[in-house]
Amino acid sequence: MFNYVLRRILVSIPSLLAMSFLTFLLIQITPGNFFDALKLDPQISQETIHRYERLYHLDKPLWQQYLYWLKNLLRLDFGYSFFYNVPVKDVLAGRLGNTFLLSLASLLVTWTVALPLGIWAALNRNRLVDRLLALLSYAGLSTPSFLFGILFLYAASQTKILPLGGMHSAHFDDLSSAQKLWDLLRHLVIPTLAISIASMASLQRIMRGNMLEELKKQYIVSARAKGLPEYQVVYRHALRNAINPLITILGYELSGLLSGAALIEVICNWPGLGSLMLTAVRAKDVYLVMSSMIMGGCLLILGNLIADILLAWVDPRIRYD
Amino acid sequence: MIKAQEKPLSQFTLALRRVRKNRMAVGCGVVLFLLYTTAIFADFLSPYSFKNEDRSYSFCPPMKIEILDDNRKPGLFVYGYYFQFDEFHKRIYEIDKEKKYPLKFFVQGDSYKLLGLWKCHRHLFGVEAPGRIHLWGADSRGRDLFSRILYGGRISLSIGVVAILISFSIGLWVGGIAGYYGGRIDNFLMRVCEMVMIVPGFYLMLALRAAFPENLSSLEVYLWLVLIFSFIGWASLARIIRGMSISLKEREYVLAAKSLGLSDFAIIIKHILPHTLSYSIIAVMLSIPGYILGESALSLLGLGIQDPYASWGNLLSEAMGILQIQFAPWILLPGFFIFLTVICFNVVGDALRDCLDPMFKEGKL
Amino acid sequence: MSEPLLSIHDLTISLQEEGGERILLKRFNLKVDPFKIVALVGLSGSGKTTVALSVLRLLSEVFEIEEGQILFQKANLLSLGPQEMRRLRGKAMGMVFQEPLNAFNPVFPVGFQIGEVLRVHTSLSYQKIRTRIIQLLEMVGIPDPPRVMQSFPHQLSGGLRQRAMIAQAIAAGPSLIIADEPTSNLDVTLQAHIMDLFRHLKETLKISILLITHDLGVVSHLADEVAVLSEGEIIESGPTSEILSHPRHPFTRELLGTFLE
Repeated sequence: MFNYVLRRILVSIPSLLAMSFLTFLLIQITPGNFFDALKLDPQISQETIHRYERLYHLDKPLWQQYLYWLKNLLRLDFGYSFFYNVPVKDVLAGRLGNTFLLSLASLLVTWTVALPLGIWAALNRNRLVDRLLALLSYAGLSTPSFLFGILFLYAASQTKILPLGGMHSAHFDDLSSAQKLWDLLRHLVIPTLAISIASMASLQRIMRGNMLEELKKQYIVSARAKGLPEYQVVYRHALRNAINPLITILGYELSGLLSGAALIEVICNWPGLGSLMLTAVRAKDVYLVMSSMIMGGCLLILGNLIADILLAWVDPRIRYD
Repeated sequence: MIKAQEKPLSQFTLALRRVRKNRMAVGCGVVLFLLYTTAIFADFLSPYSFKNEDRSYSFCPPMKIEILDDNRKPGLFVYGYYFQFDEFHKRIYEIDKEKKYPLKFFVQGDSYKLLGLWKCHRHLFGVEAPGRIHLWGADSRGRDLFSRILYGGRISLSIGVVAILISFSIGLWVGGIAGYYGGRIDNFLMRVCEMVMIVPGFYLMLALRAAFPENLSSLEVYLWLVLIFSFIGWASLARIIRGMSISLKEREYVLAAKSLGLSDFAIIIKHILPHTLSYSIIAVMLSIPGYILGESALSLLGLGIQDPYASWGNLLSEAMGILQIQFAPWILLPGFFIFLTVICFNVVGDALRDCLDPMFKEGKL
Repeated sequence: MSEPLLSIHDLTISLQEEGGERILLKRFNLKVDPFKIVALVGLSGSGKTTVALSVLRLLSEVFEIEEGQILFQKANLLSLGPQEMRRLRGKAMGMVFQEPLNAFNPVFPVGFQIGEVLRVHTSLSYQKIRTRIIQLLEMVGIPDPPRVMQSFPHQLSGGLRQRAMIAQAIAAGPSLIIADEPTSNLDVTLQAHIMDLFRHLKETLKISILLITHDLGVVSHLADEVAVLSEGEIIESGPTSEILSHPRHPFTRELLGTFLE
């Protein structure tokens, strides 16, 4: 098992390198950079600009720039954010955690709701429950998440039950720990729901499909032939196998999750990686943009890794190849 | 004995015939057809051009078409609307029954080029100035929402299709070649795909958008957006095609063609790619919603199609302010159209896939 | 003459298909006496597996039992409630499937799956169950039972898997084993071993076996009686030696003919 994990980690490294290269290329394509604006500023002398350029190795050939940049990345030096006027690292850290929190919450909600619904639909195939869920799922899948975000915010503004976006209330620092937690949870509700509805819908349908597939299989007949009670047949035998493919999907879903989270962060004012990226793009704060992108990619790779490991843990057939 | 090669296109038409039995899929197909048709003829069908604004009608609510007037005289018309400010400086619209504007058909209006070719003035319906007709209300600048939604459809509906044609062309080749040759070519191409897929879509989209130059004409913005979406999307299509290509290259007719001495290139073109057609069409159909949503998201954030041009996404950006939704909820209407389009693509794509799946498994494809 | 263990009377089963209804079994009659091996032969797709599943009442909803009786130890299985039926499955009747790789759940160790039978039908303690499983595995000729117990189905060879499947079937001490093509997926040497195993089990455990197969070689080696199924009906049945040497029905002769080739 340990070997498997090690192997998976090693395989991820080329992907990370490739991503860093892609990001670097993009920096090069981006026309103009912050320095253009600085150059126009009469208060900043030419020497300062030259000093910056030498500092960032902009006078060296491209491949050397890449290596310097890579070296810096590995030392966790992500460059400087011109917009915020601090090293990128300082801005990223907090935001990363927030996005992670939101994604985690969304995953939790999605799985705990979608799986039981999927099983329910499968066990009541073609009856009212199943058809209703299918309809709701289609609708949920097709509605853009940002629309949900807007609608929920609107509903919140009318009913005043939940806060209107953001992550903390204004008086957050004055609250006790328990109250802080509660405040955080209240702020989490709308963005999490907005992201999760589409993935709940799709996961529910997939779970339903998987359960139906498994229930057709030979080992189910065998389990029943042994005299096992039906609940054991369904929840121990069929379910266990139905979940495996979902874990594979988890890896793919992560990309969509991070993307979806980013958009909702912007709409709901959640201070995460996505909203940071947007600000950076608008300000043409190049290093911030690229670092956010790398972080996004890293989160994805990490997620995929965890999904692979989970899958190996859950499906004995995979571990031994 | 070599099995006779099934004609891939006729298999597809067989599948289409089966889909026809699924009424919901057919219904959605019809809706899509209507949406695209109205997009093409948007300029004729809408009473105003998308730029046409009248600030005295800012945030005007949807107008009711009256049939009978106070004297019970029949005829289609709208009343004039005027507004007053209430104590919160909000506009409240009142109907002015003195001003009656009859609804006319095939009226003279803003000029446009029908199908981009012929100069025209006629619109399907409208009212004479200074009256205005806002079937679905107006936005902050008094621009007719009905017209702008129709025009918006042009961009929102077409960007997806154009981008996917490009993604698909690239993906088809990359996937076909990778699957067919296998080995190091396959490895290399798949690594490239992974490289693209490794960054979450939204982040990649924003980063690419940052790489755009400033000050582009609207056409250039459109093309850049198409380029961005194609770049994001080709990789996953390539993987799907590669998977199919791998299973297809073992088929008997491919081996037969090889033994006859056909070049690899010819085999890929004549034997492998056509058989990926059916599944490809489904993959394409199910990908278009993603592109439509991507364009909406980008335009919503102000990074896509810019004012005054309309796309469903940037129409929704007005709805981002909660106050606006409160007193002008009709500005959420473009969201409904996005929803409608996406759900129709999903239903049709799924129905096609349900029909083709058993056929694929039985080896008929 | 003693009472038959299993006795199927005039069983008629139809199947709902796309083209309409198809009759699978037409007034099907079969009996299995205690401590006997009865073979049911027929071509692939002739409804043999349907017979097996119908005895255990594991047919899916597309099958409809139009009429008939299935008597097991004098009780009509078709009139039993689901709970009663469940109690019989595994305990009074066990089933061996054709492809053990598919019939075992891939994510649970083999020992666990055999143990399930014991946990459901007996109230033995964990330790006793463990001992019993080892006993069963030894009985079916599996070497190194503790290792096999912990193994997953895909880790065992085909022969070991089939033996484990048989161990699972006999675990709760049934009086009837239904074996659906138990040797069809094995190579010839393994087939011989499994056949010997069946014979051995019949002697030592005093069980009856309903052997479903299309392989007349297996029939001649193993079965005491044979029944020939064609187009949903039993066209001929009787002691094996008689049927094989003097087949009366043309279909049986055809079947024999291909076998003798």
